[in-house]
Amino acid sequence: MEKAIYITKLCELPQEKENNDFSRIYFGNEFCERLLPTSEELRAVIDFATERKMEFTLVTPYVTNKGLERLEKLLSLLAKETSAEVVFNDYGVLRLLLRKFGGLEPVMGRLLNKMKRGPRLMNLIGMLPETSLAYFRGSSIEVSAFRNFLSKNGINRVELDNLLQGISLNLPKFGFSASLYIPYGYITTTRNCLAIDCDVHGKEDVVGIFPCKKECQRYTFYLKSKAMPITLIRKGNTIFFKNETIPKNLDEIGIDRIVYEPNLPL
Amino acid sequence: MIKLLAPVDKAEEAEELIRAGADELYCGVLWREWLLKYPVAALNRRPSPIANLKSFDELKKCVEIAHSYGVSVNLTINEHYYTAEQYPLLLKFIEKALDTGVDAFIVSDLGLLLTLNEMSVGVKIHVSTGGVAFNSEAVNFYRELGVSRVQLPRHLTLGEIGEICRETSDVELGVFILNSKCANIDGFCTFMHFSSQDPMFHNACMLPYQVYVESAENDEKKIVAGVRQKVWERFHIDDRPCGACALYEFNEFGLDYVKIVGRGYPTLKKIVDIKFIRMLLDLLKNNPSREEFRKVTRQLYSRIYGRPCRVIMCYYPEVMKNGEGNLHNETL
Repeated sequence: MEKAIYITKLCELPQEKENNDFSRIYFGNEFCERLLPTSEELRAVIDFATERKMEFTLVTPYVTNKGLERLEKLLSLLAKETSAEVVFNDYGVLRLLLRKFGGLEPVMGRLLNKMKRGPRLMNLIGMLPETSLAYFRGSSIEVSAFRNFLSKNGINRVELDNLLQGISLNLPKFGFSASLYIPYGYITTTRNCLAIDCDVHGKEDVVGIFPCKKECQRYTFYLKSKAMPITLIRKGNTIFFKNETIPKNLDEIGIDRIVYEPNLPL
Repeated sequence: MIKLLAPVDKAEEAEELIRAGADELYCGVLWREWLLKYPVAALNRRPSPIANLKSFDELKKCVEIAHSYGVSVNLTINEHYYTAEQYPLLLKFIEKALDTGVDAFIVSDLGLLLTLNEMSVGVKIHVSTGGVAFNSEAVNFYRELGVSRVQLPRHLTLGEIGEICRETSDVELGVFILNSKCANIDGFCTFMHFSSQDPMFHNACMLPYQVYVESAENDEKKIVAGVRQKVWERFHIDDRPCGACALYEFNEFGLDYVKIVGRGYPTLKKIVDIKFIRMLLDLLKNNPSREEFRKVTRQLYSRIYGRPCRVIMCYYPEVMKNGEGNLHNETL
């Protein structure tokens, strides 16, 4: 089982004693283009990985045209250095990768794998008929047209969240591998970020796509509701859940890599 | 000129909606066979019975009425994903839908889109907002897969929409204009939409939450920040989102259509919404100035819906900025 560590900031780079645990480093951001690393930061993490003989994966978010421009610069830098993996969470990013960066290896991100993560599903789990249960543990990845598309475009790996309801896939049957993110799964994300100006009295109702001061780096919110079986965690523009229990059917699913998130990936 | 896309849930309301000013209709269909097998896993994003036509016969009737006015009907098959196991039933649904004469399928799932391409279904394929096309590359990705129309996500600024319009061609683009300003990005939201009156199964973004704040900031800031997190649960109670002021810019961009959200709403509400937008689209034909157009739009919104404009309910809140860059509603 390959072990990777996923960081979003330089200050999260693993200490020397932790390095031996991980053979790969994930770096970047899946949820906000404003948190894309600078070229210098990317350079520093590539160097860190190279010096320690670690493999490298760049994680990318959904992006506007402006974000895509910034991302293209990062991809250019990466393509000069390595044949690293790039996790895409936006079909526009995939198109860019296929058009201009054939040397980089595309990996389908967890945002494009639309399996339901809403924890309230666990309130119903015992009552669901087998067909519905199979749906909530399944994915469109196994649909033949989708599989053919992935294979044709050189996408051999997909990223998975550790679903509370479990996962029932058989990806090796179709030649795919999967990575499992532990312990934080994402549930939903927004550009109407509730971290923006969140501590400014009088702006509570001013919600939109506005400039920010990266308040997400200073606040984390825990949301509890009687309707939810677990606590939701809101960091910046994204809501996460936590699930540390490793599924027993890793081999059957095709999971050959654990992506460890030491912190909420934002 | 911008086309107006409106929801329809009953064949009997189709004519009224068209007479009110709808250029195109969209809908879903409840199918008993699907419900029996998948009582929870929906066929489209609005599983409630009131948000769907009740049978393929009703869909066929709706299509016939619409076509007699030269209006097209687009069918939503826009759940975010379908599994391989669901396909035999899904393909049966598609065959039945094709028999009704619908003009287009609205889809979110790439797997379904690719499958429809393999089938050469002979109707247009539209990508729903669930397809999450945030940039020109993504729009072109779908265009290359034969898609004729892309519904852009709610979470784009006017500037970003304009840029996508300028940088893409040979594909129709549309945006939301009224109702349901989702808190989250539809295509990336993995919460479930339930069809239930039970408050425990209201949409997750509408639920009341206790909020605990973790931060090194002082208590006063933490309290303000915690209150802010509850904004959606308050505003979903008074849910009249609107983006009508931005029609002015959309007209300048050459945008193809705007969509009124509202499957499941009463017919009267649908008619009011359609007439509101139709009046504004007609007003644009007279080439008003931006200021005149905004003024009329705000007056109409306030008169029709009995509410002032508010940032939280504005789809494109940058239109609310006054000349000094402050939000217009702060002085309302």
